[in-house]
Amino acid sequence: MAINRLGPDGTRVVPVSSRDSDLVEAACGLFADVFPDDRRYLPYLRACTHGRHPSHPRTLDHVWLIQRGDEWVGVAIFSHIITRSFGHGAYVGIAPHAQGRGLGKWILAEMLEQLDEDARQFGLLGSIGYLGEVERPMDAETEEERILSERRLRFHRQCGGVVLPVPFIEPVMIESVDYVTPRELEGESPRPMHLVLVPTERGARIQNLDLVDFIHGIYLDVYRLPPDHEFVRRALSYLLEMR
Amino acid sequence: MTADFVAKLKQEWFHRFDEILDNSKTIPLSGLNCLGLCEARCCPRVGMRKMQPNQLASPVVVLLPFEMEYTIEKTGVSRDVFRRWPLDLTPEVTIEIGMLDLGKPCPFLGEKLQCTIHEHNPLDCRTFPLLPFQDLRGDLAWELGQNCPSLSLLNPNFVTVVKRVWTELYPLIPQGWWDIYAFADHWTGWPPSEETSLGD
Repeated sequence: MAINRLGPDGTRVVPVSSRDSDLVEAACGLFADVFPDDRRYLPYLRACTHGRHPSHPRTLDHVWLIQRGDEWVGVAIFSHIITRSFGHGAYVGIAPHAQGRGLGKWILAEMLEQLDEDARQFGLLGSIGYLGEVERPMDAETEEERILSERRLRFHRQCGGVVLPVPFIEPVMIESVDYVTPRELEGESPRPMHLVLVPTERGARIQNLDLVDFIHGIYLDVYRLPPDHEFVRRALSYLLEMR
Repeated sequence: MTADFVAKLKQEWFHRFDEILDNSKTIPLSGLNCLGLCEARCCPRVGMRKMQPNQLASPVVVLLPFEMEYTIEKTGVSRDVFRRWPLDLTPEVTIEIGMLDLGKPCPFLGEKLQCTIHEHNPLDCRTFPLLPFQDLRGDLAWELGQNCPSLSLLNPNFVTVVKRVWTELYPLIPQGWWDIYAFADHWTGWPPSEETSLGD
């Protein structure tokens, strides 16, 4: 069910469904503006507007637009992993002119609430939060990029995010999707990223996080990698002491 | 080049640890009545696994960069006694941060719950019940380990000197270390995940 509460400056969440082509196009337009380097992932955004898409068999996906007055100021793409008690936050973007007013924190809180509701819908007591992939400032190629990555990481920390000590490589795309061809992704490379848990209140109270569950959830259930994939083994290497 | 870089860093950190331990001769006594009141509630050990959360003072010790190597050099223990986490210093250079937790309990705790390496124990142990953390602005801040039984006895002069040591170290500690330190608030190392064998 859509959560429809007011945020800062009268903003509100508008869930985007594949059935409403105007909203889908609005979400694509804002996504392309906010994440110009990631336009190749527009088919992923479109797929997520289906909620359950055959290429994402283990996730319940959400695409949200954030509306303020008569303009779209934010977009979020995230998923509840139906085999786990946590979700995956793929993108949260806010138009530059709307940044710095607490909108990001509010969107994250709403996402956590939605994930909690999703988890209960699948018979769980609630969600423990979501995993996000955040660029490492050390990989930035320019000072501008580095400042942006630092800001994103700081934002997650300020929202209670826990940077997990896991060597994480972000795959270029979910395996075997039917909406992007390998040719369209030519030239793209997997990237090392920080894997960050943004916990719900319930998740923040957990004393011993299950890193194996997190690694399996994101790699096997979201990206659909095989369990013996190099990225999975690498991420587990410190836990299994197989270095 | 990478090996030289790491070797130089290691040497610098070893020098810092030497200085801290040397200076510790002038650090005022903490005032804690550890042996009288405490049951090593801040030393990760097997017996803690059955304790209730409100009985634990701290189930995890996080070592500073190269402090694991320093401890190994001083005590001769194997690297395997430590939980180890990766810390990327640059895209090409990764070091390991040592940790002791309920899955990798402290190997230095004697039978009578006394520390057998007190003269060169990790700074995290030495600092307890003071707990450093990064506040939301990224500044060094402090809280107290609430389950320390002799907290009320803590010597203010000890607090002052320990905070000074950390303040001097703060600019030298990589951000990634603070991320591991913050993660440790959500980690006990026990029970191990089903698919892993985390040792005992």
